[in-house]
Amino acid sequence: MTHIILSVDSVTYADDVEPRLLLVHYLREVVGKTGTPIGCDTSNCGACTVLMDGVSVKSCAVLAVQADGSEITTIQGLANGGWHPLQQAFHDEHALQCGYCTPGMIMAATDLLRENPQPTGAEIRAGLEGNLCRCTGYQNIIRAVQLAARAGAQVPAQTGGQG
Amino acid sequence: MTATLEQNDAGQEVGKPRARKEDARLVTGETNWTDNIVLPGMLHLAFVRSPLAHARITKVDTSAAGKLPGVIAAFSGADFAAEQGSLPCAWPVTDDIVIPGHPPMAVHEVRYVGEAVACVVARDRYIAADALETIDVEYEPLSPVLDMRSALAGDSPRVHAGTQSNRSFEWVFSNGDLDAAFRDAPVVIERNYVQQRLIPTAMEPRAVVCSPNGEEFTLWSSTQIPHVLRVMLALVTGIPEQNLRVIAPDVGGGFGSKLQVTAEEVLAVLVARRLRRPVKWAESRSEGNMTVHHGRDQLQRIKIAAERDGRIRGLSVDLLADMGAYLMLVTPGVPLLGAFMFNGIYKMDAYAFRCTGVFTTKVPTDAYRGAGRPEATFGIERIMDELANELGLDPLELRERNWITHEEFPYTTIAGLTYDSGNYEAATAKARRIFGYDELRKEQMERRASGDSVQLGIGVSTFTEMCGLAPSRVLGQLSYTAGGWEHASVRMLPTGKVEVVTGSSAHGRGTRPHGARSWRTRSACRSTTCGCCTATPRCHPGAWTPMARGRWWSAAWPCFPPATR
Repeated sequence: MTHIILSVDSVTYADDVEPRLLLVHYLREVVGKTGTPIGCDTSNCGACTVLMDGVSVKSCAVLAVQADGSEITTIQGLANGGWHPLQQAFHDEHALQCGYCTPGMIMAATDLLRENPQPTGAEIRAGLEGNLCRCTGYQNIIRAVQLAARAGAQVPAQTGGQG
Repeated sequence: MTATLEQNDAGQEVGKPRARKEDARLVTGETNWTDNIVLPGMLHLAFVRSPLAHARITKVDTSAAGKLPGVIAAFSGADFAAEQGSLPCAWPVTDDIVIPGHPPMAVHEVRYVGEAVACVVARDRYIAADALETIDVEYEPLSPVLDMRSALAGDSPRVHAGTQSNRSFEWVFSNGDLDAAFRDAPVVIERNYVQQRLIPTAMEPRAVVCSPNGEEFTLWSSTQIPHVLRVMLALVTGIPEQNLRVIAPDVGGGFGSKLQVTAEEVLAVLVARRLRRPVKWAESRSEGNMTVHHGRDQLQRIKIAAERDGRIRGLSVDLLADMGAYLMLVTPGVPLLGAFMFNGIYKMDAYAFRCTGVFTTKVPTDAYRGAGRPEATFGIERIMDELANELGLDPLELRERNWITHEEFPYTTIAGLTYDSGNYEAATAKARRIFGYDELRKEQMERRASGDSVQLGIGVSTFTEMCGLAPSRVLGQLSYTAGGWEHASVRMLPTGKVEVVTGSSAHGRGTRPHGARSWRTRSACRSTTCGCCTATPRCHPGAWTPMARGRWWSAAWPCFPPATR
């Protein structure tokens, strides 16, 4: 067992974990952050994307011990109280159906807008190529990210308060 | 349908965009996927799966697994042989169909890669994965059966020993004099098309949780059909139906792949019953790719006879449909749905359809996205293009010469279905205008003439579909053992709200706002203050609805709104 201390959605956790424990299993089964789903467990689909120190990672391809000392933001800690502009935009643009890919899409888009606050459609497609959707198709997802960009989603995500 | 809309002044509701009511939880991660469920004392189930397409099982030794810390039990198929029954096929399409036994966990023989041969039950999924490595299974390889045509040859190895052939059934339909249609026909075209096998791949992998409570069992499953699953689990396990409760929580897509009664669902119940502990199984993606039922997989031989002006005289369709190794819930019925759709929107004098279901040593096929109907659309539309090419006609022109005209509705097709309404002229004219069809055809010709290095391809297809499948009495005539109906109840609540409850769950279709809309449209209430306008359809099948049909066959919208009347 390895002792790790990390912040998840602005709450500090200290746990002893097996070195092989995946970050996504740590988040879901130890911390209880089940808003982050597992789609493929092979880093193909991006459904489990979270922010690690502000940068998007696929949490099925990161070990919990690698996250020691870091700040993790999940879909459940993205907004403080209300909705993040990306969450609002996904709803407004009908950018989801079953919703299983949505947390990963929104978290990956958050990082994309941090790097590039006003991306073109092509830049959004390239930036989200690691995230798969099976229901909606991608057009409305592109529109949602563009809408969020116009609404100022590049402002660093507020975190905290959700525990 | 038109009369109903006018009568209810539907223009006030239908056609307006509505915000989805499901999104608040989905965009914030406050979701309830089956794999989120944690119960006190819950154990994790994992399966050893066959690496061979066809083999006799000569040994399964699970003894080492039980010595690992955190492993509660390990079982082989033989451990459940007396109680696991056979996975159900609910659509015996002919009287002489061959339906082989389908044990949830293989006992003597495996017939596809991925078939479960043993399982372990452990405190967590990591320990369960470790324990799988300790289980010793030995096989004696048998000949795989992979190609449908050679599978039907007399000397082919059999998928199921003791059967006379690898044929499961042959189903035929015909209407009109096909011989006369083809005799002396000015144009006859015959083609072979392949509908490749595919993996449905919903974003959410399958997951099951079963919790025993005395004689009662609660099962959560990522399923499209909680009510059907409850009935089938009762039939397979012998647990009285009233002691089973099945809940489909949030479901992350299905595409037909969760329209199934799976080995893992049955075994989760049996293991929970054996150990008197809650158990969870959550598949990995690679495990799902091997074992979720596959879609399509047909060889289509299609023959069309026509006049020189393009008018269709007759159509003949001969299908080989790959069943895979076993018949699952509606496996044999899926290709037959195409029988009623191969004629598409066209008129013709004669039509014949034949489908042969073939066993191979592959994952069973079953419903996938349109289930038999898109395969038919591909077949007819592709051969219409071939016919247009043969006749030197524009593909849209050929279609227009054959489709049912607006004045002819209602129209009973050569396949026996009555289409109540349609206006293909207006729809096509609109599509043609939006697409800029004539301009693009012109550009295409110019590019061809100039030998431009960039050429332009233009594809044309019409499409119609039977949704909700058919009325129950028609389905009964097709030996289909579930009705074409949906349940709904409308409850007036003490606080003045209206609750519309249905078995058609959401999993991606925006059921809640549309359910509210359809009920308001059909009800007499127009008040904005009494609470009706905040009608909240509860789409939580299994938990709140006594019996329902579920979410499949494109059926929710044809069946659920009428049920609220």
